[in-house]
Amino acid sequence: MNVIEVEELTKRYRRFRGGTTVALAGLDLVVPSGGVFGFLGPNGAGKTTTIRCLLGLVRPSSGKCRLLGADTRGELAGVVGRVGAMVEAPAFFPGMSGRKNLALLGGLEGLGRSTVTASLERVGLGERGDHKVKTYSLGMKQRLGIAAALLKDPEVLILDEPANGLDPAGIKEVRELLRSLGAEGRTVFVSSHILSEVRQMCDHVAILARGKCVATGSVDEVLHMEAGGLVVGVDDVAKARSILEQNGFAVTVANDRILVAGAVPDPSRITKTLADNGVFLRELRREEADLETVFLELTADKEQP
Amino acid sequence: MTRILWVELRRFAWRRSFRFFGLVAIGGIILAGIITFFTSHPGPIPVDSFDPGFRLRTLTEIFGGTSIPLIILGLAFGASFIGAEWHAGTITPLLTWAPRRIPVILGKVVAAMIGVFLSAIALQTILGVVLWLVALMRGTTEGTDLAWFGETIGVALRGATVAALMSTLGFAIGSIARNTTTALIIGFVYFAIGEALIRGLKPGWQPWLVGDNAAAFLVANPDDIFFAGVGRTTLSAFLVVVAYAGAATALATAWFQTRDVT
Repeated sequence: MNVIEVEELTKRYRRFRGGTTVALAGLDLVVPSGGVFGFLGPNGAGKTTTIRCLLGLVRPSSGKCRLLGADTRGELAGVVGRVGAMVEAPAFFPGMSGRKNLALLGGLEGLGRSTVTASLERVGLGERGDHKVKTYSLGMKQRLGIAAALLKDPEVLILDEPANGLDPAGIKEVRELLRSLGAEGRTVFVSSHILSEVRQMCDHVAILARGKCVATGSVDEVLHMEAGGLVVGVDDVAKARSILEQNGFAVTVANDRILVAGAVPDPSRITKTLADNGVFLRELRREEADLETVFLELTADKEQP
Repeated sequence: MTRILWVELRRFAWRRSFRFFGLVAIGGIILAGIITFFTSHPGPIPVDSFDPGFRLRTLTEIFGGTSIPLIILGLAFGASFIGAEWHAGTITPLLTWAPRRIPVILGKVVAAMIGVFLSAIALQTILGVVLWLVALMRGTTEGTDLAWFGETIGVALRGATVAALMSTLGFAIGSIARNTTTALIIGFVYFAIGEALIRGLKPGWQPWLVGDNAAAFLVANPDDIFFAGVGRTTLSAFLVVVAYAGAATALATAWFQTRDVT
């Protein structure tokens, strides 16, 4: 079952001085149940607008959005009890304690003090729960936002940049927390621009650019989307390069290795071509792209002149 | 909606501004009691004289006077109750818990009304008790019969009612403006300048002015200048204020229902 289904979603904001800004331009997205799903994109790509549409905060200009099977334009109230969310910077009443802020939210679902305490402890704020939010650091506010999202013991967590403002230790804790939540069978939908985090934390990923999804799948699938080349290691690089070029392969040389560019459907052709010419392989592997490269490649503004 | 109302009432009571103004008001009441205690003297106190002795019978007029700051505070509390939410950004997480917007905004406006009404009643009661004690010790309770008591309670209740209705006007403006300061400026400019201008330039419109109808309802006295200008019964003046409060709430609700929360 898919937890989130987004179909041809568009959102145009009217500008104060006329004209419109297109935040989402026909986004299609499917998030399967369970695990951690990373939602990547550069600033202004439409990540937060997508999340706001999913949570009914913003009305789409067109297209469909379904959360746990419910249309977010009219049926959200029926499923919202199963969804925990944190949108952008977590917002709380600064003059109230973290505990009181959570108690107010929990009161909407009839949740008691013990639930609030458990949620605070889960994010490491047990001892600071009674302090006013205005005394919290950015990282602590972020944790409180996650605690608020966890309060309902939700099936689905939608978190917008949850690692923002956290120190490295905090980032690691949040990563482990989200991974453990995903391992429990919940679906954790996390937007982020921290690529290393996404790679370490997520099972699936979607990359958003200019209001559209440009890649989606498991992290490995997405990484290989822009790869496809083969790395060839031989003793005589110059000779091997010449042979491959003569046989129609597009090659480049870097770090004493030959990179055969483009999709190579049958790598054994390379092995055979070189062996027939007396050059023997000591290495043949698919080029490993890092997520950053893929991300930059996929989100590059190719449409503009 | 019951849960939303309950949560919003708790939030009203937990607000810093509520506690701050509550403490200031209680401090002011105690100070007023002390000053009255020392300026007064034990009875008998001559009627209709300039004698500084405190007569509990004047509590009716005192409640009329104290209702005015309570009404202004009601407007301000209504505006800041929703304005603070927009300022802190807490509307966003709230709507991720309660996505039906109409119950959310109605819960808030009703909580603001109830909170302001009960607070006004509580402060008037504390003031009445303090002054009653002063009158017992150093003043007189002469003339405080059942009719007086009913009239005095009536003024206190009408003052609290107008404060509660004004809180809905403040709330509605604050909700549409999504900002407390803007709401307060609009509210006070309208009541302090706008209505005065309308009264002067278009006297025929006076029966429809919010402030004048509120004042006429509060004083409930046909001899009063506001009452004469409005030319309505106490009940119809009240209904005009209720109609304005209802219309403002309906407008704010429609606005909240249709606008994006970004």
